[in-house]
Amino acid sequence: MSLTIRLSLLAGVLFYAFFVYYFLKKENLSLKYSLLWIFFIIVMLIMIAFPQLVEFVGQIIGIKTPVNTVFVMVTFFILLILLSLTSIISRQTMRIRKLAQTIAIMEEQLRKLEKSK
Amino acid sequence: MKIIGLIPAFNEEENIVDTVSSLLLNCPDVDYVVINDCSTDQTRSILRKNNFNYLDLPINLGIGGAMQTGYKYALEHEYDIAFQFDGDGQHRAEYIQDLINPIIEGDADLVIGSRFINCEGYQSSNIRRTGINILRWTIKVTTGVTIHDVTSGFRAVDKKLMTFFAQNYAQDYPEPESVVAAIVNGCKVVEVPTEMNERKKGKSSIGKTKAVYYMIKVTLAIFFYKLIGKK
Repeated sequence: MSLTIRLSLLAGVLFYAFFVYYFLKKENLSLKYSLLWIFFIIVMLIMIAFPQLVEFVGQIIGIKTPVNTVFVMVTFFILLILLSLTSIISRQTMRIRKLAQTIAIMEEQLRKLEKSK
Repeated sequence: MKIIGLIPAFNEEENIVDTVSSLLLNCPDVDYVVINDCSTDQTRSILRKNNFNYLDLPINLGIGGAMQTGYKYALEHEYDIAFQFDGDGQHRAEYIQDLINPIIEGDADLVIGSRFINCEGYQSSNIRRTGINILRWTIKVTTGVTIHDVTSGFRAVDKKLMTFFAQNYAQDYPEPESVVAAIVNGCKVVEVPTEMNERKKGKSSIGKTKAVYYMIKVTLAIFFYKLIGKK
């Protein structure tokens, strides 16, 4: 990978890192959900610092241009993060449903209690 | 034995009074609860005005979540048998006794009221019957059990399945999935012949574009249930 690509990638990654830090500080992002992003940033930094590593990985999975290896890995991470998002949404849907059902059952009880007063 | 009818209702202001009165007329000994799935019409105020027994969901959960609320309610109030009875007037109250008899006699855990045994009454449209045939075949292949009317929401369950459904109930379009879940978990499923009415007023929950999604989702879900096996 040329120095230009590495420097542009570094700028991009630092930009990302800043946003993650900013959101964490503002408590708009819980640490639990930021872990995947932080991991992503670390992997990117390693790839920028050791371009030989990118070339090595590229040879293993059969990609000639090193920068394409970077793209593939970024895509992989995006998919991973998307999947984890879907999983979080599913879990929250289930929790919200449970809450709504409990409220409905309690509301009926309350109505009956008030009527019998 | 304590028996309760679960009546899911979403925007059924035109049908709900008839549904509940026909239930009370035909089965004066059973209790009932209407589950208002956050209707946007007058359903709620009609329920209150008529002094019906009802649950009021604060957000719209869809038929699966609404039915599950009913099962939770039935479990909490220690009912022995719960049966589903649609709020749109499609199900006929005179068949409720037939529906719960196999459970009282201990012959079944789940009883489904089926339109396609004696083939009387409203038989649904051609395209829907084709869909139902595909689902029946899918269930037959995956579980080895033939269920004639897999999409029928007219069904009764015993305490064992009531407990199970209160914990795990399929969302979106739950009818075929919940049958498969019951079979996979070792429940005995029996079908009894019934007639159904065409819905009187209002719209069905499944339109044309949704039908495609329905078929794909339900077929996948059936295979999925078979795959993950017993819960």
